[in-house]
Amino acid sequence: MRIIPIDKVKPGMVIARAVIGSKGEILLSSGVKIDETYIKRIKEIGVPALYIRDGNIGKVEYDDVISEQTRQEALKVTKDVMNSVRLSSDFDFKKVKKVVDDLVSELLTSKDLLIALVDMRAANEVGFFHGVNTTVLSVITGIAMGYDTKKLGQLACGALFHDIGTIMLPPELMKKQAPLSAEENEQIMKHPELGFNILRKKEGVSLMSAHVALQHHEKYDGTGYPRGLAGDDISEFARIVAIAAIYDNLVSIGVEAKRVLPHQAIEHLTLYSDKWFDAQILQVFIRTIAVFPLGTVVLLNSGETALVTKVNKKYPTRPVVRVFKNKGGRRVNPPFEIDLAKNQAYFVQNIIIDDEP
Amino acid sequence: MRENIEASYETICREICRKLDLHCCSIWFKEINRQQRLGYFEKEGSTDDLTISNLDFEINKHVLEHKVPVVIENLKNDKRFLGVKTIPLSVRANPILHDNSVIGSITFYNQDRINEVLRDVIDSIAVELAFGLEQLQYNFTASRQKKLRKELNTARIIQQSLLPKQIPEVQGITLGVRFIPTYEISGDYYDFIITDHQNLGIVVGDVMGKGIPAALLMGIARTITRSIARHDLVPHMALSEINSSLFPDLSNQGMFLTMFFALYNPQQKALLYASAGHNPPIILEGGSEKIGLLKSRGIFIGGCPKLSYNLQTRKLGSGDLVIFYTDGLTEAKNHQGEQFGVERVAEILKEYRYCEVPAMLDCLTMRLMQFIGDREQSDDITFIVLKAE
Ligand SMILES: [Fe+2]
Repeated sequence: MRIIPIDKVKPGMVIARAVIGSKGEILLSSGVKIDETYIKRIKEIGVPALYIRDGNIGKVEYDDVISEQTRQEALKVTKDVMNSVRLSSDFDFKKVKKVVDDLVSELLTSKDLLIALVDMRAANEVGFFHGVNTTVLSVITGIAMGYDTKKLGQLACGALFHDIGTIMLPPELMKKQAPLSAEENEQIMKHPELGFNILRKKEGVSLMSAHVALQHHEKYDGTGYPRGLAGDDISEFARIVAIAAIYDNLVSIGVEAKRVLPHQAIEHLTLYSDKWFDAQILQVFIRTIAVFPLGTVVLLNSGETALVTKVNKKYPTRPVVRVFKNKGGRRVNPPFEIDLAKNQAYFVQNIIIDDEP
Repeated sequence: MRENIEASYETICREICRKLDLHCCSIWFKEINRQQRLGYFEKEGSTDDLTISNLDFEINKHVLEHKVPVVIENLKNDKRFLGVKTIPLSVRANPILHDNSVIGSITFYNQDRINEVLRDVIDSIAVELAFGLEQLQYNFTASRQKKLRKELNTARIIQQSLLPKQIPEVQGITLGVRFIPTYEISGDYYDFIITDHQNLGIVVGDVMGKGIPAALLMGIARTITRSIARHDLVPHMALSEINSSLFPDLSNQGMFLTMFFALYNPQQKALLYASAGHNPPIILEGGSEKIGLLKSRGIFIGGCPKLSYNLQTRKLGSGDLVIFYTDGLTEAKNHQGEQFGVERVAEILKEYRYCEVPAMLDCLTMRLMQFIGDREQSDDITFIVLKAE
């Protein structure tokens, strides 16, 4: 299983991880052989890269932080809630509660709380996927901050629906590409308050969760909206979600091979530390990111080319890598693995985005 | 040609397995601190099960590092390399020696016990291969370095033996180091010394010279520095002493060295330092993102018989980050001949300041190597990161 940028994907390649559409629907399941039509479609909707099987390198086993089933369930619930809010400004909280509890308890039992995979998704539509990813990232951060189950549940609920207010805005507006006119911008900037009003009235939803919707566009230095709150006046939950949401947008969406890689996202977020983000929380967050996600092709200082096959929570830049090309560019068959955490003389010299399988 | 040589080692492994009816065979080539697999054959091997292939890396690493054979009667009863997995195979791994130094290794895996007869055959194969690997090492060497190859190898072995094997643990700070040598060994040197009063001495030096003379001088400098630093001498006095002791040797050979010497006191959380013409370390303040240089004036060691240096003191606050380095880091060049530079280093440190020290080192290294790109690295690169908690 390796990450291949969309412009390097060729007919006949086999999908190793399902491609999820912006509404949570499966566009391509794992195991599907891709043809020209699929490639065209995937390019159209703006998925930056795919996880592809590579028989020459062998299988990569991994434990995702949450099960595929829970992820699907969370997407489905989000979709139902959005639809129901659009129609009646109301939704069924029981279902939300269940999926949020499942998500939190799975993350709490997850051995390796490191985001090892990148969920590439369509860029051209407003989707539900972002909500689920943001929730996973936020809860992992919450766990690292020592939150109890109750707090994690409230945080998760807020993260999942931080953008729920957008559902009250005209769909054409949400689909529109930048640049937007001043009026359009002003309209979009109403979504935190719209979301807050939906959530705070809902029985069972904690006011803490509702405040995430209201405050997730506030910035730590007070330059955000809607109220220009600064520092600790912004709720801690909202400060977490603000980081997670931006990180997810950075790494999950991209044009062709110009995907933002996790280490670049770290650079970017750190640049805005204390300006947009709470530095303390940012530090916790950054330490939960696998700098080299599973399936990344890297060049080692030995000149060998290798695939990341296992991430390391304690040492995010020292994964287990599987060498599949030697320094002369010749295939290493069968490949062999090096645990970078135990072999300090080795290090990753570069990330290779355009290695041809 | 390289392609052919590699293909031929694959063939050798396959033929050995066939002729001797072995399950698996591999040949490895030694590089500094690393190893390269030249040939591998595994009966019915597939990419779906890499157990032996992975194990083979570990076994040969052991052989190449320790210069000793590895003999395992049955992998079922040996947890050293495999951990929880078990395979019913016996193993014999031999170092391949040339001129009494390890240049490679060869490993055999057999379903049955490896008996004396088989062992003798295996041992003689290892001996036979020595010449071929030696030739290979010669071929892999760039032509301008061919003449000096033996010397460079010796210099590298000396340099490696001089660098600390472990980073000391000191209360209140985290330390990390990265050392990226060039083929030609250009005299970078660093050391950590725990003093009599439990302070930490940090030394970064750069001998102006290459090859064996530089490596030997580094050895003398290290011994003298260690013995002087051990007694908690303040850095400027220490440098003075080091200069007096080294001057005769240095002036004889027309060599000199730059050195930065710092003493960290864990009780006071203070860094005392002095510099003998060395690049000033960069400091990034934890609270404010402010960047500064730990400057201190002083002439390089070996310039005059008697020299005095300046003492500077700096209290370290929580989150403060100091990077000590040699000019190989800041003067590394990219394709356009542009230098990496202090500013870029500082900028990158800022961007990764929330990562733990090991990740910070790896990210800085990656950014540096991306910058250098295809251009050949012309100087040793050393950097040490100190982070105050
Ligand atoms: Fe939003």
